[in-house]
Parts: sequence; structure tokens; C-alpha cells
Amino acid sequence: MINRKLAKILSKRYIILASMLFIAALGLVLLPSYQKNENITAENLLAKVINPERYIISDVLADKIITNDPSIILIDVREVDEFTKYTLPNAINIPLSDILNEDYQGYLDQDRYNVILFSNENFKADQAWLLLNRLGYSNLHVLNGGINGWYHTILNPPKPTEDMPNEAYELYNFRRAAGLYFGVGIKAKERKVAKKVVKKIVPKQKKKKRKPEGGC
Amino acid sequence: MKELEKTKRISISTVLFILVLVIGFLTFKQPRNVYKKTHEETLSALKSTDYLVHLEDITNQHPVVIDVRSKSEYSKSHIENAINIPTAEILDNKSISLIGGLKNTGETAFIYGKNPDEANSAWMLLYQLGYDNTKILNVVTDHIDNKLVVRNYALEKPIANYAEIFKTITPEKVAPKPAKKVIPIKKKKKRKPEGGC
Repeated sequence: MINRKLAKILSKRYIILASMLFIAALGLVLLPSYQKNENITAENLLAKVINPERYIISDVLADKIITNDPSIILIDVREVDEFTKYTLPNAINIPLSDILNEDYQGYLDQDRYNVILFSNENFKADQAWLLLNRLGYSNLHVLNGGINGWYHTILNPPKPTEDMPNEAYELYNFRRAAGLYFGVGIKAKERKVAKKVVKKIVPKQKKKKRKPEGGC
Repeated sequence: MKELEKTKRISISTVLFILVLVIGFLTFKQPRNVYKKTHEETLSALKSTDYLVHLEDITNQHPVVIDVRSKSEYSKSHIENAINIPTAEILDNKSISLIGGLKNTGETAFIYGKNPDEANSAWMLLYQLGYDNTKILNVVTDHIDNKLVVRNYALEKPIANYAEIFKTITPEKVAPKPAKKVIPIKKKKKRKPEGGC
């Protein structure tokens, strides 16, 4: 008797379990389509945005350029005409409107170099930074102040007044020297000429054989 | 009895399976904020400068103005009737529902900060999340004499004379190249063959 009852319940149990699975399957159909953020969520992007670490100041960048730091790539996101007027040494021009162009992704989507974006100010470079970060690219930085900031710090630094600490003078001297390096004013011209003279010497002149001197 | 044990195993595994499914259903969670605009759409929005507005261009009598500066700066002075949402809190439920509500009623929110750069990050985030009823106030704000001074701003304007500082030298030519140190070798003068003794 007991065995029979048990068998009955057991057979029913299968039906119950099967129907539950069936309902679960139906539930899957009714689920709303799963939305997900590609690469980076908005919250993570916000956390990156409010972190000022992305900015690199012009003094640091000047030092890197002068010491020929091989780990940086400079990207100018201004338009072509502004780029041809003046840009930082060895910068690559990728206008903001072309920043998603596939030809340029090789420069931007890599993790070997530190990419430094700059425009006239922070605004455009920041926009490029945000767009590229949403794509999940890493090692992106923004030159703080852009070219205008560069002009006011490196190319044309304000003279420190007498009541300023010694550090201000040191910074000023560094900026002056860096400015000369980047070709400010006439002094730079002289310097350049001097450099060229040094370069001209590159072909080493061979020692001519001396004629045998008469001995005793 | 052997058969009974077999069926037991099957039913236990089925129950476990169903349990897993139920847990899956219960923990199913949508991300709170999803990008509605693609990169390309955002970029084309950036190309047009429609999102930048000057203060006098606002025709609305009671515009919704959002201040993304920090709370302390806001408490010192702010544009009249501005709502303070620091950039860090822009994705909070409260602010999102506020801006979403404005979108539903067709109102535009104007975002400002110390300068357009500061407002830009908040605006770009909101825009990409689909809140295209937001715009940036193209102004710089300063706290002077306990008052907020709002000035229009020429964005991304290059300094007019920066080429002058180089005089005639073009920057490309000045571009630093690793200068090789060359030690000039002095030419030895030819000596005339000297006579012997």
C-alpha cells in the first residue's frame, strides 16, 4: 500500500517539477532585454572624470620632451590650420572630429605609451579624453591648460616678484631654459646656429698620412 | 528500492536546478545608467556647438540652472535659483530623476561651473546617458566681493600672437632632436718634411 502511494506521488512530482521548469522557461521569454554598458559603466567613468590625475602640467611635460622620454605620444586635437601654425614638438594631429576614425586608433588604443591630448585649452582635449575613455582606452592624459597654458608657463613665463620664495625663481629659471629649448626669441636662434655648427662637424676628417720625415 | 533511489536523485537535482533559476530571477538587476547615445552620436553633437549657450541667450523666464561646483563654493554665491549638484553626485538617483523629470516636461537644464571645462564633464556624461535636454552655460564664474561675477567666455580661443615669440623661427625646425655629441677632431697641420741633419 505504502509503496503504491509513494509511487503515485512520485509520478505527480515529476509533473510538478516539469511544469515548474516550463514556467521558468516562459519567464525567460518575458524578461526585459538585458541592457549593458560596453567597456565602462557610467559610474566608473564619473569616478575617472572627477579624478584630476588625468592632467599633466606643462612643466612636467616640458621636462619629458627635453629629456626625450620615449614613453609619451603627443596628440593635438585641434584643427589642421591651428596645428600647422604651432604645435608641440613631435605632436600628431588628430582633430577632435576625426578622433573616432579607425586610422588613428592605433595611436590611441594601446597600453605601451602615455598618450597626452591637448588643444588650445582643456575643453576639447577633455571631450576627446571622455570619448576615448568610454571606449575603454587606457593611459590617456590631458595637458593642463593646453597650448594657451603652455604659452603662459613655458614660452612666456611670468617673472617672479621679489617677495616670492626661492622655488619660484628656480621654476622661472627652468621655464626660461625650457623656453629657449623650444625656440623662444633670438637667443634661441643663436643657440640653434651653434648647434648646427656642431652638427656640421659630424664628418670626421681623416688624418692624413704624413710624409716620411727625413731622419738623420 | 534501487529505482526509488534513482528517482530521488533526479528529483533532488531538479529541485536544485529550479532553485538556481529562482535565485537568478531574484538577483536579475539592470544597470542603473545605460548609455543611450553611441560614440558617433556624441561626437556629432560635439561638432555642432548647439550645446553651448551664453547667459543672455536663455529666453526662458525661469530657467533650470544646475551648479556643478562644490557645495562650499555654491554656498558662497551662486546664480539665482540654481540647483547645486556637484559633478561627483551627477549620477545619483536624486539628480538623475530631477533631470529625467525635466526631460519629460520638455525643459532644458543649463549646467555651469567655474568655467565651461568643469561643466563639460557633467554635461557629456548626462548627454551620453540620453539626457539631451542639457546644455552648457558658456561662462566663467568668479566669486568677487561676496558676489558671483558671471562673464561670457571665448572658448578654445588661441592666443593671438604666440607665433611672435619665435620671431622668424618655425617651431618645426626647432623641434628637438637628440643631438649627438661630436668631439671635433683637430686637423693636424701638415708639416713640411724636415730636413735631416
